[in-house]
Amino acid sequence: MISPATPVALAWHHLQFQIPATWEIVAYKKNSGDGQLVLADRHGETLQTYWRTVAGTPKVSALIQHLVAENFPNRFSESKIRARLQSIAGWDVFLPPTADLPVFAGRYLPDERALLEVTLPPHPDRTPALVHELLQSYRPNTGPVRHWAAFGIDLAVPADYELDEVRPWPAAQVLRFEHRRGYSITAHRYGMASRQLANNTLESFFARVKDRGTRLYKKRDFLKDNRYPGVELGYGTRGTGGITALLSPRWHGTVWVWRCDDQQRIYALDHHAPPKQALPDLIEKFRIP
Amino acid sequence: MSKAPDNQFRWQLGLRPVRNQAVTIEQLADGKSRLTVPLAHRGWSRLLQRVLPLRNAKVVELDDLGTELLAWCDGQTTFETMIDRYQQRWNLSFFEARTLLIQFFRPLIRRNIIVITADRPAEQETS
Repeated sequence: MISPATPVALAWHHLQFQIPATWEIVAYKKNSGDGQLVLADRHGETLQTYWRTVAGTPKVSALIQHLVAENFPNRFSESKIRARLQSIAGWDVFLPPTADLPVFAGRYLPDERALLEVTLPPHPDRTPALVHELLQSYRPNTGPVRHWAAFGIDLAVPADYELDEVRPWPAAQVLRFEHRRGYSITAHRYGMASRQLANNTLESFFARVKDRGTRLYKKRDFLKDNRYPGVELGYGTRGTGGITALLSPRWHGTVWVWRCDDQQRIYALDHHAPPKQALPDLIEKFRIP
Repeated sequence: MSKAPDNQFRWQLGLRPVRNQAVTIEQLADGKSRLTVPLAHRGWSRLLQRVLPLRNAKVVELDDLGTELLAWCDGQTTFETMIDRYQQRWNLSFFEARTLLIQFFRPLIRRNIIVITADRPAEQETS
């Protein structure tokens, strides 16, 4: 079962789940039209999710049936597969008779015209209760603000900012979102904080992370969630080089950097946009797991 | 859906890195260390050694973290135990710690400073 003390959020294109804290993303795709996420823990793969936009409304139970028949051609008759199909919290689910077979589930998301499929491979910790809890925890990820929770970063971002870059490096994760007009939101998460900050302040640490040409200045100190000490930094840009550096309007960048000593983490949130498009409360949308 | 990658993954966690006994370790200040790996010249290299000043050892320096990790390579501690220790020490996730350790060990294995030992798979023992 997903222990109530430990579930963490998983939020990506089309989906929001509550998952055990030990599950980590080991494969991902950024494409909102056709992609996947694969999660695993030390015992092996725990969850695979796939999504793709579809034309028309698919019959999900028939698709799941087809999926089972394709994966196990001689194991189940059509009637046996149908008998094992269930509906759990809006999902069409194939619950296998034995633990050595995967669980297949699917649902159609009419607002996004997307088909979402979930596979729970055989795993020592997979129980029927866990499958139920996981599927029941699903929430759609639609609306004007989208939730992104992955690689230890948990952030709500306006829907017109699209996922642009993912850097899932160990102890250095970055998710970058970009608006079609070039405004950006970049969330950073670094590990081994006591080592990183042994000879650095938060300002000098982030200055090393940021492009060498960016001139950062300190705006103020702040406490993230009234608990974690941080600094708010600023920078300005004008154009993208050449003649645009003279003619373009000035954009402001705001960076919030803070340290969580109890987690040995440093977090940073970098928002770059023209003054009128800036999101001053963005820092409140960043949740520390 | 194949089980093979999972088995390989579990097998990797059971590996036991061990230090090459021929490597000499010199402790430096601030927890750093200097490793000297003797080079064995064979074939053409051995002949060339008589006329060219080929080096007889290569030297690698480790920082304090690397020195600590090298001390864990005693041939008894499994890779999984090392991951657990590193994970706890730095509050990392399992896969973060695993990747960092692999990144650390890979060049040391290439330079023959660390050797990997493994249990013989059960099916091979019985055959």
